[in-house]
Amino acid sequence: MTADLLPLLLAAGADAAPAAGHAADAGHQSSATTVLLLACYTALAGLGLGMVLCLWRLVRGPSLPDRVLAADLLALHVVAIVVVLTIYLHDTVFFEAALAVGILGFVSTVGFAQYIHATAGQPHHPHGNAADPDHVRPVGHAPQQAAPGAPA
Amino acid sequence: MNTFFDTLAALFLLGGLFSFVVGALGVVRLPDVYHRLHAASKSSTVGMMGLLLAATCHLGTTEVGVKALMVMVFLFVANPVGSHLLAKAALKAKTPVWEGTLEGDQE
Repeated sequence: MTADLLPLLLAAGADAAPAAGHAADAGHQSSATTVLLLACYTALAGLGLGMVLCLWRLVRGPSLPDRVLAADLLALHVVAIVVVLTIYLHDTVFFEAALAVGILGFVSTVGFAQYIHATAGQPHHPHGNAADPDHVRPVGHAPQQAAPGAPA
Repeated sequence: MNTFFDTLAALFLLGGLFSFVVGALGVVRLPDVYHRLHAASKSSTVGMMGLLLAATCHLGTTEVGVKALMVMVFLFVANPVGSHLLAKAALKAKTPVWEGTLEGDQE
């Protein structure tokens, strides 16, 4: 039993996948060509770089919409990495995870957008940009009533 | 034939990767939140399409074709909707615009 289970456990790691494939099933479908493997490595490195850049914007971002946008793009990077790992490992069980993470990112973006929209008119809204509210004209909306104690 | 489709998959993969990296660079480098939304939403949609086409080329349409198509259609609907909602919310929250924005461009 253990001897049957061990290759499966080894196959869970990306580095151990070729060795486990040789040990477990000799009739396994032929793996990717060298060009595709190199492309997979490049894609993983590039997507990691993109995730670092998104994290920088997530930490740095001066306003809340910046952070929400960075989180949305981060979720999309996770989906992309799942797809690249599907190609690399030649295993299709991750595709449901890709769809689930995509839906989760979309729903969280919509939720945060609703939150920003709902708390926009408050005098001390926690968006971090209350210092200079005069850069944008409030187009398409009724003029907001100033709170009694707030400066005009 | 396998080599041909794998090379095609590698090309799609690198194209999608290029789009993703450009989008992430735009999110870091562009001046305000509306420019960053412009960079993030479109480039990530196109990049994800490239990656899913690469997966379909490598694994075959019977394995992941329908799922890849589902993800593609969902992202093509969800990404513009989410970005539009976020842009409207940012506009309502009076997020500062870039100083070079023309007057009346926010409408």
